[in-house]
Amino acid sequence: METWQILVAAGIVAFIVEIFTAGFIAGSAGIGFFFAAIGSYLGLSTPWQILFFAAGMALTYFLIRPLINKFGYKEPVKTNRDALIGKTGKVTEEINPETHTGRVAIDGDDWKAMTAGNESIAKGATVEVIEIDSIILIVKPLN
Amino acid sequence: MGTLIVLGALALFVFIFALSGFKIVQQAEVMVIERLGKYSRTLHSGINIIWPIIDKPRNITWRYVVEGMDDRKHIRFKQKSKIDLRETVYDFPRQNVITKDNVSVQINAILYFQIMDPVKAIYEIENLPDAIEKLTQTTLRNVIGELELDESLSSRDTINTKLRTILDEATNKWGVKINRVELQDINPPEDIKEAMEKQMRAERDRRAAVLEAEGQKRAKILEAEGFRESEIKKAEGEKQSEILKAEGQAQARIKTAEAEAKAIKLVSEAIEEKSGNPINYLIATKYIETLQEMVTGKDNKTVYIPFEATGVLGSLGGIKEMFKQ
Repeated sequence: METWQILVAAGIVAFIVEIFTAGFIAGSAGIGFFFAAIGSYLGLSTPWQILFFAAGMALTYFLIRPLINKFGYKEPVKTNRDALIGKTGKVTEEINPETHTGRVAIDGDDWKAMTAGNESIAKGATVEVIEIDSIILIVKPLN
Repeated sequence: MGTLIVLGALALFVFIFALSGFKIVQQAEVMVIERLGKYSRTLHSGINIIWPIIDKPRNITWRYVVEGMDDRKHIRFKQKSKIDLRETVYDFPRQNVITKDNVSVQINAILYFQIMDPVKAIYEIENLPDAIEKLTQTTLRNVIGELELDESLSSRDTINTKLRTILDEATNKWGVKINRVELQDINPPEDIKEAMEKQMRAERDRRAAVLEAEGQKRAKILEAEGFRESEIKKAEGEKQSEILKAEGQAQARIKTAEAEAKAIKLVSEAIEEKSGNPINYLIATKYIETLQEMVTGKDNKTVYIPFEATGVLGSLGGIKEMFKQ
């Protein structure tokens, strides 16, 4: 049983651990073990192997996010707050910038609403959400 | 050996560094990161990397309800570094509220809220769940306090709308949207409940009495109408029969008069042949007939003799003259 074989086995075990945990921590350790295994296979001394291990982990640490962001996600599904932007709703109370009133109904919920420009929108009109300021929707009339 | 330890420590450091530097945030969660105590950025879903020593996630207080053994709800507060952006429901314990007409009611409310702005939810308010709960309870008190008991029982929709409007104003700076407040049940005290039932019963009784009276009224009217119609019919029948009787009598009298006329004519003709006065004859016969009538009454002990008996005898004499010729 060579040292590099033990290290490869350790790397595989680390990846198995990764399956049951989240966060790619054991995974990066596994990659570190593979680096150490390469060092061992090339016949380098133990300090070098440990250094290889650390370097492998550090590399993973810095390269994993750009890689995953590049290939991992295509089109993220928008939920909660992000999902509201672009939705259309009906004005349930006249939007009036002078009195700071105005409410819009979207998906069965009732929101306070304002317009981006200083314009007022009559009750019953259809509007589109363009932005959210805390819990106030910034809307524009949908023509 | 020394280098081995140093390198081992280095490897361990790198390992732990990586361990705490990777942050995987799930969909619909965010993490607020502070760099040396200052707000730095918000991590969104996906894989994120922070600098473990200088970056720290800031915790938020979260409320959990744990059902106890004896159906009692225990509220636990926990510190969480991941902030949930999904709609969350809070079940309040029962609370006593006084309505406008001074009835103390027990209200059980449920609240649905959603964090819209995690940064505000962390930095603008210290204990968010507690604050939401207390705010909702006091607002609920105000809204119910403006309504009478009957109104509060029947206008949940109005209560909900009012609450939302008021709560929106308050929670705007916390970045929290309270979507709805639902009243599970409104329990008036027992004696009020009894009074309400009594009222309901009295109302039903009233309706029954009114209906009965109306029925009786209709019946009486119908009866009277029937009576009236029958009386009219009866009177009409009587009228008809009277008319017919009168007509019959008139015809009978005409017939007798005609017969009499014929008889007189015949008598007078017969007498004229004997050159006598028929008037005398007729008067005499009438006199005798009348006398007969006067005498033949029951208990009649009085006999009326005409004053001018001589006139009668005279006419009798006239008759005698007739036969003599």
